[in-house]
Amino acid sequence: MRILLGAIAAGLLLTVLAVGWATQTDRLAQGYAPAQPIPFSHRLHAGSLSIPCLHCHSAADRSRHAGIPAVEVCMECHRVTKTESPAIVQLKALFDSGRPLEWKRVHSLPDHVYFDHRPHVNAGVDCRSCHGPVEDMTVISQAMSLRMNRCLACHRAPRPSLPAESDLQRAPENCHACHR
Amino acid sequence: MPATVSRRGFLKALVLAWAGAAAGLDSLKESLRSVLIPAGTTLHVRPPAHSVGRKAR
Amino acid sequence: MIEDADIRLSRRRFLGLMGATAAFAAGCSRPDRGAIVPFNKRPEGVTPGLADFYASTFQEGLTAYGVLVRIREGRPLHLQGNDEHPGFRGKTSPRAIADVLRLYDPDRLRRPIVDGRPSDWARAEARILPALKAARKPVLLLSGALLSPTRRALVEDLRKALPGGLVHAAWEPACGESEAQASRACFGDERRSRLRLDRAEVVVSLETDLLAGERTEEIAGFASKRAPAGPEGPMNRLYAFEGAMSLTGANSDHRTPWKPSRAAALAFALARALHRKGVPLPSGVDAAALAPFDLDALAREQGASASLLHGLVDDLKRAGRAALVAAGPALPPQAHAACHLLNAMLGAEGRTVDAAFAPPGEALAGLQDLRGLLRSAAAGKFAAAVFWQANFGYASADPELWKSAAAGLPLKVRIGLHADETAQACEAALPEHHWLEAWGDFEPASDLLCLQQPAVGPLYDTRQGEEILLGFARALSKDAHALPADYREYLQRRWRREVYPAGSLVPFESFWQASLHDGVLRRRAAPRPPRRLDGRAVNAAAAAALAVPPPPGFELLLSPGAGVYDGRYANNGWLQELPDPVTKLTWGNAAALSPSDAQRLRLQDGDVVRLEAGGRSAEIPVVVQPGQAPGVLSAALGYGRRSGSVASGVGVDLYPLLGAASVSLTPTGAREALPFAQRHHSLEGRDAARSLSLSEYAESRRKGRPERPLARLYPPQRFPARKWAMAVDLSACVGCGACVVACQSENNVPVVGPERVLKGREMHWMRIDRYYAGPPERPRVLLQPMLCQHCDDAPCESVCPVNATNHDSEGLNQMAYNRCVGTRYCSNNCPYKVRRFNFFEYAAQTREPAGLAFNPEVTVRPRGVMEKCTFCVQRIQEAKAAARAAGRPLREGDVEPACAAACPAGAIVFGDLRDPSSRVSKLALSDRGYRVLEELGIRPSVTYLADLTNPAGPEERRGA
Repeated sequence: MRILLGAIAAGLLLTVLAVGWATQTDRLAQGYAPAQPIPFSHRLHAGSLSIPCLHCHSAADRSRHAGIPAVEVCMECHRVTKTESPAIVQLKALFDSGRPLEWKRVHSLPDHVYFDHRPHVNAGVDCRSCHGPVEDMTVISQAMSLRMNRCLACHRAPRPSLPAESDLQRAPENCHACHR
Repeated sequence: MPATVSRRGFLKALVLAWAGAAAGLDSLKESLRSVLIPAGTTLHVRPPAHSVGRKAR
Repeated sequence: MIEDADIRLSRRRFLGLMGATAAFAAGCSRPDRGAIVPFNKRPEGVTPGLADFYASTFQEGLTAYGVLVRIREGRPLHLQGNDEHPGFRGKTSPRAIADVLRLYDPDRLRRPIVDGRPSDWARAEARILPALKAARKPVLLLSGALLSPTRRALVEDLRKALPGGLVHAAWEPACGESEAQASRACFGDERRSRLRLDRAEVVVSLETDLLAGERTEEIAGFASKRAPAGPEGPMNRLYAFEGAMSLTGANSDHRTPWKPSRAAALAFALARALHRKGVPLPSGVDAAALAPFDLDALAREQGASASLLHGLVDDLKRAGRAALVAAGPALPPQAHAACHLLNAMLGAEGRTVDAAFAPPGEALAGLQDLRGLLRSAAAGKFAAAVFWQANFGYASADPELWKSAAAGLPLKVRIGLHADETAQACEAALPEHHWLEAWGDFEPASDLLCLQQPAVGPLYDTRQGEEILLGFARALSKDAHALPADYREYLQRRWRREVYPAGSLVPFESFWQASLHDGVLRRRAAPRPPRRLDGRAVNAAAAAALAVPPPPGFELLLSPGAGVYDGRYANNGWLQELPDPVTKLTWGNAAALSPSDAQRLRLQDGDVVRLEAGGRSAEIPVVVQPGQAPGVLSAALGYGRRSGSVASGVGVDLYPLLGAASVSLTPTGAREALPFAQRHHSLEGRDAARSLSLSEYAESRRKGRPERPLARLYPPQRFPARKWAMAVDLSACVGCGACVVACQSENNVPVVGPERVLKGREMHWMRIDRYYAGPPERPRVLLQPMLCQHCDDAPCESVCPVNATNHDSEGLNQMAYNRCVGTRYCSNNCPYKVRRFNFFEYAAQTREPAGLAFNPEVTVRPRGVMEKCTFCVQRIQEAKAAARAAGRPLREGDVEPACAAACPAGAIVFGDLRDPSSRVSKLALSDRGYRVLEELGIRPSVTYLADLTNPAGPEERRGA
């Protein structure tokens, strides 16, 4: 009898622990690389063509969101470039229809976090410090685990991610820096 | 008090508990998320035509 | 029965199953993270994550507020005053701030309703236009105050187009009529003068609402004279004579309970006393007409101090042009005429009473005019009626008359936001744009025009009210092409014709864009010469004031609700939960009566009484109001609505009693629990809210501030970069509540509803405490904004078992919601009671699309966590990021919390205490400064500056 109750209790405890572990938001985050509606290649654009990040993600130094470029921005070049490629045909059709393009979200912060691109970009933190070697990614994938220990590790010792001329020694570590 | 549970019933209950807990926790997280992230509405908000705004001040 | 063996046997399978289901659960929970949807073509200037601002104008009653609308990702989120507006200077009324919620009101009409069925515009037009075309009788247009030159032009165009003509009447249920009547009689027009409290040294208020929340300009002017640098002044002096306790009385230096029926007599007696002291009467005013008004007799009759009244006469005479006498909208026209007389005698006309740029007034219909029109409608004198803006079906408050008028009108059209009481009686209900979706212009002064422009595209299939009328005019007009189809075009054409300066070098398009950008246009206009007072009108008013018989029963004072106004905002939860500034009652109204009457009738807070007058009655709970004049009942209008999911059934509809000067009162024996936001009214001898007269101030300054060494239980906090702090000047604060609403809008503060307010579970991060001191018949009122004090040695922090609340390096007491487990220890240990606990998932009760009003920069807190003021940390972080992006350090003024930005009195100052040149660090060292409960040694970051009063007395008189 006692064993039975013990087993049930242990089973329940294990259930809770295992389910909690299995469903934690960020467990499978790293390396997440969903297929996108348009097979856009960062390796081609950021790598081979060396287009700077801020050309398309133009708000990264002005707004909390780096911004995903409007279809219009793609069409600046693709009006004349590679117009016969099936993906560009698809893109052109979408642009003409006026409907927006629904990209799959790759980076998703845990709840309760208010991340702001501005201070990071303006302090000279390289985009690759968090987003990884984007110029080598054909399909964009999440390089960094977006968990608090990773944020704090850099906030406590930011020097390696900063340009040599920066005089920053530490970044804020209080709760209000990211939570409000 | 002796428990009156058959082995089959016990296992059934266990599986149900698992599935229930997994689904429940997931939906709980979902509902939390929908509360925490204020967007997520089907209403289409458009910028006004012809108005003149002031840029970030 | 299950045996142990069975379990042993199944252990392997048990573990196997466990593994399998774990994999199953993990597989199911692989997160799809949704989509990111950028624009197809990005509208110019729209950057996700950055706020935009639009200048616009909000009209309420006879006031046009210049506002600035903050937009994020296309959603209007927060309103503040337009800083380009010369009168409002970046401030606005609490109701204007709250009105962003009405834009997202789930109850709004989303498509036209024709004959009770959801319909569309084509069908609505097919139902209405033929009837208007065939009309041989005039069409009745009932609206609110137009206040807009372009709207007036539109009504004229509609008049020309209608074959049977148009009868238009504008009615504002909450504006009163006597002011305009007196102005017509005394000066020959309805021009409304500006009351310049910024110029007034001595102010006499007769039952006015001068310092009510919506009087933004007056509050700013008053506050500018209330916070002197030292005990020498200068400081104004406010005398209030009133039956009901108002914010004006609460902020006065001398408040005397006074029956409203005798207010006119008081003003005439003051005029007579001034005349006897040698102040000449204006030409045409007969000294004999004033002879019956005797100050001493009146003082005896009202139980007031005669020496106070004689002192007031001396004060007025000394102040001369810098005096101001004003009467409230509930008083009869003769009281207003008496004030005109006093102001003219003192030379204040043209100085503190400024009509130099008053625009031509608009003749508003009175209640009797309105009822007359409804009677004509019942008699079949109109072909159709269009009801626009004001809620006539509710506020005209005569169900039989309304019903018979409806029966006598072949076609009734409602243009409005909601399917309200008026719409329910109409064949067609046409949904209107909210003002944040619409165009317009207003003329608050002859040298100033305000523009209203959409801050968001229309949310639903609605049209702007003006555009609906314009559509009627176009369809009926012989010359349809003369009128444009849309109201923006109509407005622009009129501006090009009449506003755009002829021969200007700037092209019209640039002129128009610049005006929209600023929201206001200053024009050159010649000031009008001072108005001439018609002596005969004053003589007649004096005779009328003399003839007023003492009313039987209780005198009744009805005023618009502080939150719901005339009832139009009753569906707005923020405003329902905004406590009345004096009674602190939320979610409903109550009849205030004096403590002595309550004792005589054995009534307590919440006892329901029946009020009767002229065959109409209402049953309403009472509230015992310290300072209320005996024999006077006062209550708020705008409650007891019969439509709206939030509004209906809250409070009691008192419109049936509108216009009655007196009522009879019968206790019914029933009781009702009243949801007060504050239940204890005495400071119990403590000095949390301090008040000093100017002489006490001088005395305390002479003695210096007592230094109380405080024990410290913790090592001192260190703030290496800066320390955020706040200063609240209680002398400037009038308690209007703009900060409370601004905080609610900025910080996603939930509305909890009356049942939970009754349990003390309201969620306001910012509240205004109101205390009474002294005898209940003549109390002193102390008002104190209260918010998290961000104590250096915060008692809440040391008791949190999970360290969810702690201190940051800039002095903020921070709250991490994701750590909070809801023990509520912190709230128990907070001496200020500013921490609020989420007992329910309030945000989940938000009905679409009200969630669009949430500020995306602030967490919407879930159930089970504690929350409180953060000093608007989102604004601090935004300012820091913006400063860094601009490559400059953070400067004074970069950060302004929502409460400080909203305060019309400028009573709240925020800044860095480590910067010795900042305003807040200077105020923290002020000799009026103190910290609430500082004896606890918890080192709060909020400095309060003691309230100052400037009572009259031989030793107190300036210059004497």
